[in-house]
Amino acid sequence: MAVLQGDDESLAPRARTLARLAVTLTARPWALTAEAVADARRQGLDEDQIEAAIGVISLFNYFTRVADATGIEFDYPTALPAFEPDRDQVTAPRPDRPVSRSVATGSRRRPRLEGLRAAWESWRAYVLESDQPISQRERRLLAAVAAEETADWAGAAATAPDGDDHLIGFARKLSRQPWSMGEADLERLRSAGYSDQAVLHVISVVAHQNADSRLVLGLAAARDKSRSLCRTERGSRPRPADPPPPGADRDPVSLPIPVRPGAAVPNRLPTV
Amino acid sequence: MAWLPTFSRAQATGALAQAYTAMDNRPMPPVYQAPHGDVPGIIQAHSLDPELLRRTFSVSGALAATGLPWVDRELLASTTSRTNQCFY
Repeated sequence: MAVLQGDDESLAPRARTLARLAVTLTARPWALTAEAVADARRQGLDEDQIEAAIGVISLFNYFTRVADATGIEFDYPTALPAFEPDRDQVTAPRPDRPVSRSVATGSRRRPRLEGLRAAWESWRAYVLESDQPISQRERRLLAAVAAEETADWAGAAATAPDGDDHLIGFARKLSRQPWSMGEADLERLRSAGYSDQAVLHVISVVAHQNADSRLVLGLAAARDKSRSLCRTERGSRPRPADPPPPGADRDPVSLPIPVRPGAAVPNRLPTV
Repeated sequence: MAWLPTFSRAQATGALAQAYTAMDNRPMPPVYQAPHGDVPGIIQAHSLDPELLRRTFSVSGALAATGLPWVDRELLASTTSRTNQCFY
């Protein structure tokens, strides 16, 4: 009940820590710190559980966007009062430059849990690399916009092609304000020639990238602390850094997503 | 009614029917069973592409197999949904 009401401070310490982790990684993923993850460790979570927690939060950033963009109805049994979404919620302003070196130029962190990594990579490959019913160019465009909206600059820079306004506007809105999606947003895609199956894939690419970028940022925060522990607390040699991904030497800020003036959702908001 | 076509269990054939059967056979807490007795809406939302459905929900299966307790997973999911102003 406290979670539904947003009263996280009344939760028990472990639950409160997890709730804070979910709020930050969902609303301001670029602001997640190693210290926030360390709080979870202090509440007894081990590294695998922390990785799983980041995975759950990330996956539900996919499911919520699919639910909002497809207009499905609530159909789970619950004894709790129905949650009433605030459709006027204001989105957190996005930073307009890399907020940390690891996010800007580091490799894309993947889960170390074998089962989770295999399932996630299989999902990502299908969503981003299929040729039908939308092209790989369209997928890269949608993913780049979603990554940029999450301040996942490496993801945005690695995948940014030129693009179409209707796709860019859709990706920005579903990334930034999923709670305001409506049937009209789907009609615009249909009017541009997208079939129902293609619309599903547009939604899935944007929603998936919102999940994947949060996974990357969350794991980066978690492993920053792990490296720190190796150097300073365990007395062992630091783990070597992962090799940079292809294109990591490019300046992500110099690769903006093109948006024509007058697009439905602005390209940039003021820096926090 | 959803804004994209969805297919119920009774309407499903071929790969979609197989995907639904695989989902039905997963260990599932009662709270995840939709009162209408059909496939839950979030799964049906993917029914235009059974392969997308299969790969997407294999991730939730992998997360359920981790050592993170169910109550923690539910808390994280609920808080994420609330933060995104989503009923799901």
